Amino acid sequence: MKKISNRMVRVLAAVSVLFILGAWRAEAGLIKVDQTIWGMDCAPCAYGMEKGLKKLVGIKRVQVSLNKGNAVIEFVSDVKEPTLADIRRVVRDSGFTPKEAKVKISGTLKVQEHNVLLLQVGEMNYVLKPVDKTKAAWQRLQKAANGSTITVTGKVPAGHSDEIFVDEALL
Amino acid sequence: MRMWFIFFVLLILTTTQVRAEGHGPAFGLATPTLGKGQWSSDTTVMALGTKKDTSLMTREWVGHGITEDLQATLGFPLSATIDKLSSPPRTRFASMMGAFGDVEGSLLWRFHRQAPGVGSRFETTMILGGSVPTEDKRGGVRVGPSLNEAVVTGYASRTVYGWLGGGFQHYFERGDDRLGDLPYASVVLGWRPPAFRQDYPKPDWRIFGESLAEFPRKDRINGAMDPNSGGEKILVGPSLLGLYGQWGVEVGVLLPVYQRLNGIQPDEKYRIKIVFTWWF
Repeated sequence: MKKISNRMVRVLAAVSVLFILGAWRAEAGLIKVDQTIWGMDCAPCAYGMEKGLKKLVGIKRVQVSLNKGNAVIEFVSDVKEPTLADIRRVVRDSGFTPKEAKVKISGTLKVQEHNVLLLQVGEMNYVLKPVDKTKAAWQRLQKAANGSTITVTGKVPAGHSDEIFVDEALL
Repeated sequence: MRMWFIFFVLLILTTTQVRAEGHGPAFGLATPTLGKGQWSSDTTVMALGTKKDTSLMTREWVGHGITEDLQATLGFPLSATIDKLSSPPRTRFASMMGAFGDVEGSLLWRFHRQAPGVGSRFETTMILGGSVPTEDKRGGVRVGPSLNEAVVTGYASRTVYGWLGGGFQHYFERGDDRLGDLPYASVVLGWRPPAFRQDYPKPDWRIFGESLAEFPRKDRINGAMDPNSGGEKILVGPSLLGLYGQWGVEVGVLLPVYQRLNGIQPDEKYRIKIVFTWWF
């Protein structure tokens, strides 16, 4: 009985370690991006854009719309790349203009001096900014612990690929 | 009968090769778009008829996006002209493709680009190219290399298109012969019918109304101006472009509405062009 118990304890311990490691690695990086694109008028434009985005590592799904003027990109779990800057580079290389993007992204919260909040994803740091400081999502972020894993949804303005104006935050 | 049989064989052969430009008009100047690193292939079958004769030829045009605003192209005849005109008009046939029998390389620099909103852009492109002939003589004149420069500005959107451009092709001497310079200009208006404004990857069709003006100067043969060369002409006509994913097909016709040709040159009756394009 004692032998079985020790074995069970070892198995449980091993499973727990694996679970903790898995949890620590899970969901860091872009989850979904809705990137607005100006200038695409025709089928080959959309085809070229789709092809260029699908070449990036870590892409699960791409849907390009000419009428809405956007590309919706879903990402494979737990990849630090590509970044939003990579997505926008592909848009520019295709000959079009990237505008505002809506993002859903996970990472580690870093609280800096003067209460500046950063979302760290790999080597990339996104500056988190409030849409409205009284909003519940921003209040939750203010109270979150330094180093906690968070998922935020928000808008990234054109020309500033490292700033997120937060709409929602999950801790 | 032989001519039409060969025409349809070529049509079938090029159709089976289609996998994925036709982005703009068939004859006029435009501002083609290729992303950085992208390639395109345009395979063309074209016919030009005069009051005396008809020619039929095939031509290939390959494009490569060096950057999103700089493109290199190479146009060349795919085969010896199937039926050649004994007295060919001085023309580029279609402004972007190069003249009959020439191998032409060009750089297209889109130096102005502006996206005012979803699905639309203004842009202006400068074209600089050079050609070498694949034939010794053209219409009795020894053919030398040429330089071609053009500029075109335009608007592309999900509903309407428009381009306005002009260019100048200068042939160099070969011995005492020289083909006359060719100033040219084009205006193109396009419309995407509402039924074809559905989203990617649904089929995308549009109609163009094209006009092309050419003002060829006189040739020089053995040092003397040839009185039976040069003139001016304006041609207009429709073209229809269909795109699906990475490939496209375009058909266009131009008919002369005005021509004044020097000497005893036969008037042009029509130009017809069919293009198969794919992007890869």
